[in-house]
Amino acid sequence: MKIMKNKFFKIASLMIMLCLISTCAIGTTFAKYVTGDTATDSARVAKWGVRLEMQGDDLFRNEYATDDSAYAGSLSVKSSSTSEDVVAPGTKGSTVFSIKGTPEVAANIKIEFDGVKDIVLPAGNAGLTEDYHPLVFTLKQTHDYQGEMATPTVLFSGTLAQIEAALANFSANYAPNTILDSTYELSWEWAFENAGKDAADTLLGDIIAGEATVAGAVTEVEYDLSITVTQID
Amino acid sequence: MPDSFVDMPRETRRQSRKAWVWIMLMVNIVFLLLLMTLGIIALRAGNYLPETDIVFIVGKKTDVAVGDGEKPRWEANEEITVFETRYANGDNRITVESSDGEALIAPGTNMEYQFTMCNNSNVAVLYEIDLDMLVKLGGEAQGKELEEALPLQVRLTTGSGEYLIGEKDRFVRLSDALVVKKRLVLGAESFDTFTLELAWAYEGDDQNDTHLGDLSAEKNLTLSLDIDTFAEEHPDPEAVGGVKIDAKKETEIGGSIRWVWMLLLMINTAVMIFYVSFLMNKRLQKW
Repeated sequence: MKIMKNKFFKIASLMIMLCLISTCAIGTTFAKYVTGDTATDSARVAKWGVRLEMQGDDLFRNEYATDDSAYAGSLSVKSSSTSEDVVAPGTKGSTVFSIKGTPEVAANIKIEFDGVKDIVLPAGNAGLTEDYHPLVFTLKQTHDYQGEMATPTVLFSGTLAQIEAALANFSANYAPNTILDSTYELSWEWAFENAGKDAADTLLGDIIAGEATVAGAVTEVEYDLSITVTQID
Repeated sequence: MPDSFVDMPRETRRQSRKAWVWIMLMVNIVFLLLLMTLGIIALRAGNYLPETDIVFIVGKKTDVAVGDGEKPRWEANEEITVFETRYANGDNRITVESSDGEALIAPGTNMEYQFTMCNNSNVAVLYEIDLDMLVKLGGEAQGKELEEALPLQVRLTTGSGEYLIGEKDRFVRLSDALVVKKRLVLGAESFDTFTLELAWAYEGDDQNDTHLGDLSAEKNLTLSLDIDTFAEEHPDPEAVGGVKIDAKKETEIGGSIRWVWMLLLMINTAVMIFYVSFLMNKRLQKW
């Protein structure tokens, strides 16, 4: 019995030690600190929304109505080919383009006009003392952000080359949130009555009809109009 | 009636003593279990309450605070200022400006935000900083396609010049940075400062940039950016990282309460073991 008592007390002592040891182990095993935080912010993509609108591509046409009330017909000029536009003394045309939007970024508007070809009769023909460009182009602003302008502002007027030169450095900067609402009209006209130029007009007509040949004469008109609105860095 | 326990008949005394032993044993077991339960609750609660000192068993002081110059400690879902309502270019001209006071991003805009993580604990922590983004169009959350279309780039640097996101000469597209998870060490009583840089390159995909700007003009295209910080105890409490905080040593956390609790636990365990041994011994004597 004494041996058994001793044994049990030894077992009891061993169990106490195990209890002490396991307490420390449990303490370190269970203890694992974890934390987290979140911070947030939000932003909107700055608005652009700039719209370029061009009202048709009919600056030149293949037929024109008459202005002569004494003439019975409705058309005074008509191309022999429906696919080919023509110009003639007394004809005119225009196209309208607009720039609209209120971007939240600073913007630059650039208008580039590339006069590829212009009708010209060189000096020395038909009594001309200088090169004759029968078409006169005009660029004017007809609307701004306040609406239709009472008196449209003529920005440039002249030959294709002169328009091209005038617009070569045309660049306007606008601050963020500027209301861009401008409408422009590009027009041209071949004057019917042009003092001293009837012979030149006639010669140009004969050249295109194949009845005459003049070195250096150009009987076609072509241009490229490019409008670019770019965010300023 | 007997006047005292000694006056009782022998058999009655034995039975009374036996009953008393069993009662004490049961009380002891219940008290022991109660102490252990309270300790475990303190541990578990301590893991989810960073401000609570886990004192009962581990005796560690744990506190990791993240904040910036305006707020030294972020609250849950703290609103911070990363994006601005207006940006100026190198010539100091305003080139981007909000029309309604809402912060903006646009091609050519750059943002920088600094925040600090302070490990006030007396053990080292392993931390991780993740980014999360949410793109909304017209108030509705959008999917990955629009997230990936947004050309924002990001870089995250520590005060010691280590790059958590990106590299010295390279930013990472924000939509790709969300999965970058780098874990670093912040030593006990140490801090580190982080710089988050965001940029939308001016020269990029013009068509895409214009499309995003038009979308925003039409329906409001917004981006929400979350900075998630996560810290857990480092397996090595003595691990080193960050810059040491020059703080005075504090006295041991928990102190006497902790030791009393430990002592009670051990005493109760010992008493219970002896009771069991005593009873088993008595039983064997009978045999």
